Amino acid sequence: MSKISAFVLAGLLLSGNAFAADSPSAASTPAATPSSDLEAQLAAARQKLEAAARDVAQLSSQLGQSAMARVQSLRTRAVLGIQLQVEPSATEQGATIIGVSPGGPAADAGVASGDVIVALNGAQITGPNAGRQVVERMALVKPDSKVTLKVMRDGKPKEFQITPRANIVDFFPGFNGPGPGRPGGFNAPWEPIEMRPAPPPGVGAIFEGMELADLSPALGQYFGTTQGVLVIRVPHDGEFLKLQDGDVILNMDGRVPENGSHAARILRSYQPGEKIHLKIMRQKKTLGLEGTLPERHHFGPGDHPPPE
Amino acid sequence: MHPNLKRLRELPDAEAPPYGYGEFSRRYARRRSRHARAPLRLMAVALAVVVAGWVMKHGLAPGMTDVASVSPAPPSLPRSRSGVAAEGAAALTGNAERWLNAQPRSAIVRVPTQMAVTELEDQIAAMDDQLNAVRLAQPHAQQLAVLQRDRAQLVESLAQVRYAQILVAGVQ
Repeated sequence: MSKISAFVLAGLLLSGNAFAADSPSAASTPAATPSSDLEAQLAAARQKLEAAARDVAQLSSQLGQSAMARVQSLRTRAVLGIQLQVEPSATEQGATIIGVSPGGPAADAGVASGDVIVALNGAQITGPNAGRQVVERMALVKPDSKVTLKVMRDGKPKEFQITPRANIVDFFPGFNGPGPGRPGGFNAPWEPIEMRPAPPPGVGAIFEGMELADLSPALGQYFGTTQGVLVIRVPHDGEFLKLQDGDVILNMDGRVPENGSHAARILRSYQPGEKIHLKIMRQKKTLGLEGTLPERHHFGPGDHPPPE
Repeated sequence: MHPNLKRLRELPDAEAPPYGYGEFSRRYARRRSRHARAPLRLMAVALAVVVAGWVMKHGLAPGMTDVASVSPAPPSLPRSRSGVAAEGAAALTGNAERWLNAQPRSAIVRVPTQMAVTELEDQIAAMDDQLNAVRLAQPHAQQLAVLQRDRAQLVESLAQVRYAQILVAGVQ
């Protein structure tokens, strides 16, 4: 077993032991059956494991942000989530993908490492500077607009429809000028543009307890819609959203969630204090909801809401 | 001639045996090997029943799931004192990335945890985009190495969080 799994399992076991010491249900209810006691311990351990995982993610993200800040200013840009072979090559027939970001837009669409991009949105990608062509063309693409990528895989053509994600990037003050992804391309003069604040850490605490499920065709038929995500549980302090268990979220300020993961990504883009407009399906009737994300929640790493 | 001897000589010739010793040995060996294979046949049948039961319950397609039992642990990265080693960090993440890409997407998500996952995923994607740009701008190799090391750390964290997420889904 790897170090990671050992770490996680150790965390799970420790969480269970810790719970036994401080849980009211375990300590003060002598009549509790062993099985309900174990279930309670398991539930608490699960909560702590998830909280620890979120800590890992938040701390890593903060480290990543500081690393990125060393080489970039912030600007909205469409990101595919691929690494390209950018060194000029006389033999390349296109731009070779040398890495695909796990969980990125390209990976979600099915693009794989080793694919060779031969066309992007219908424009041929060819020649010794094929990698550079992809980067420059992507600089002109708006985030959340569809990109058609034609690749060669094992000598056979394949086509992918990818929705790039908006992201904060790029250009390099340290290089004093040229950088891809800027209006005007590599030769444009250096100038700072369109800054936006990074989302505060711990914004997920606002949605603590919320669970969403993908809507399969059969479930969709039951709830009277073919799109959206099903709310299994509303947030613990979810009055601001006015949602109910069993609602189907059809869109969030015009953005249609394709699945639970996508919905979480959309929710992440909101800031505390920001308004959110939801279109939902409740008991087969369409409703519009409006709420404001509360400001009072701000849990950083290691600071979690009390167990359920 | 003795009458008894005379009677014996008048008896018909004895019939030839149906097969000789060689045939007897062959048949004996075949019977033994048939007995020896019987448990194997039983085990194969039992295995087939178990596999058929599993397939009926879980289906053949590796589609969406929220069950952890079929998911092995993610591979870990070799570490230096300062975390993930800078040298060859990109190569080191290969196993972790393969593991991550092999995991099916969860059909049910807990929003705060999934937000953390998507944040890591988006950062890795942004960093890959950044790496392309840095390579094109021909910066110092040290800058590239720093980005690759930080990326490897993000990938490792993502693998940890996804694994915890899968474990939690498995005990729900």
